[in-house]
Amino acid sequence: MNRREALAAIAAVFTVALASPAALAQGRVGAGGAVPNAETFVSTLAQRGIADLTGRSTTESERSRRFRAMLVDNFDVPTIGRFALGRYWRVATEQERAEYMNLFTDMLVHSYASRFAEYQGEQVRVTGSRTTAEGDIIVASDVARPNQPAPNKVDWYLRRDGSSFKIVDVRVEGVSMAITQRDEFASIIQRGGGQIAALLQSMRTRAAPR
Amino acid sequence: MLATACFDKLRAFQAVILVLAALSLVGCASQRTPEEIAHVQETNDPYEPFNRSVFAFNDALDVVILKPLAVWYRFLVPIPEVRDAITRVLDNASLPWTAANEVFQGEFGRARITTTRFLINTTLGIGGVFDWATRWGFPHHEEDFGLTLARTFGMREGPYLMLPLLGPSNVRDTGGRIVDGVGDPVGWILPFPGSIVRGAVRGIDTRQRNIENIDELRRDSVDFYATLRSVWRQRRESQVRRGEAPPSDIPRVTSDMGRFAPSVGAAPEAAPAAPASARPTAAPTARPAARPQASRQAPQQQQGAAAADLAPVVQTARAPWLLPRDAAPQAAPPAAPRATPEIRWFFDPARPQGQGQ
Repeated sequence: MNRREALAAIAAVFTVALASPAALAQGRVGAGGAVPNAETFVSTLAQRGIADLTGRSTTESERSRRFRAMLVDNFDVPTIGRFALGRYWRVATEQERAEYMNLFTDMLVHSYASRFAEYQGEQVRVTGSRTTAEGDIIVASDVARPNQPAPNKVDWYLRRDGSSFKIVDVRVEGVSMAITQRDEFASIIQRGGGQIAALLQSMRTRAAPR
Repeated sequence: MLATACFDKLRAFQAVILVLAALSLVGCASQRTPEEIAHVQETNDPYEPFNRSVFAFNDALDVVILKPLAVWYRFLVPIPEVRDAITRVLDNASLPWTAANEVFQGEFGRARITTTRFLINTTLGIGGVFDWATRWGFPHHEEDFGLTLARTFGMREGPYLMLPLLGPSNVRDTGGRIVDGVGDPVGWILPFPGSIVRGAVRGIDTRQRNIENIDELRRDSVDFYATLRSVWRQRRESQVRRGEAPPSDIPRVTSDMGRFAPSVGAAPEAAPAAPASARPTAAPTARPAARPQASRQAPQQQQGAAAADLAPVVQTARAPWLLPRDAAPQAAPPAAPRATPEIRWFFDPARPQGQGQ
């Protein structure tokens, strides 16, 4: 059944993506280290995602604009971006880092914004939260999609940012968006002869509107 | 009949074992640069060139046979509810072996749930067509012998392997699959052709349910092989943990990452053309001092440092998956050092001189 699991994971990752749609949040307070604020944060964000991004009524550029705003406001993009470059961050020049960060944001916007157009009828239900030893807050949720027998388990990794939170990772059925991105970047760099330029080149084509 | 079926299976497995043995010899013989070693450490894929060729084979097979079959299946069985029922029957048939694995793991409570589920859905549910058990509090569990090896014996995954036809795996789970094949009681009851049909239907059913997902993944990933490897390994690790969310791998970065904060207003269309100048905060010339040691200027030193970092890892890691989980060198950064910025994957890789790719 290994292949089946892999495919289920792919399914989950690439359908639910970042801030998944449709929210009907019941901020149930879990046991031990639960953070009701964080649960509200996630369900509100999901609700906004559904309201502002899904459906075919908005134009593509307007959807991209809204997605970018939500991404920047609610995700710790610099930290995720740095993590995704892995050990190559240290050898990148300051110029490469700056270009990488810009492309990283553009790439996220480009690859995820269009996906929300295809979403319809999803429901995000926050099921609990806990605080890890490192101080991260993990908010657990079930994301139900139409035509799927069972909901996907989506875990949101939050860090405190002033009075609010910033998301540093999203795990869909145990698959981390940040780690998946890092591994793919590493592979592109490795196959490009260990040069960060190879990754930047690839990102430029992906971030560009098709 | 039973003996013949078993013998056929064993012959197939023998071939797999021979291939594995050959692979382990290849792995020992090759000489790698520190950069390549670091890459292998991260990906857990020392046989990558071989795995990629198997993947190319699988991929071609998918395009020519599996995906067309899946599309046909969906066309021939157009009602989603009927397809779901077929999936449930297949799932139901996996339960006896699931229960056995739960017993092997000492999870008697879970084994009882699985057994009850099987009895209910096989009888009242007519072989699994109807799922009464979930409604009555006996949920579906997924187990296989690879998970038993991981949980009960603490066996690590071992090198990543791309199996012909079967797809992503690793040394531990390939061994698990062999035991699954021999041990599954339903496989003993079904005649050998029946087992083949069961496997084929399972494959087509799974492929059918993932047509859109795989198309999307292929479209969005630059290196499909690498993405699949990453996703599969994470998913498998998650299964071993029974889906419990692990602590985040993302370090707390203390440096001034704020200067990379993306601006909200920038239109995505403008970005590729003028990446740096459009955002004054991230202009490369703004902080030349923020990067005291430019690695480009001291490649030799970098290489030396990386090699020194890697030496103990390379020396100790002969067959780390055979060690108990605790004793084996950690591939992922452990939780404790998160406070310090020096984390394994942050060390400087040497600039490679020549690539073997």
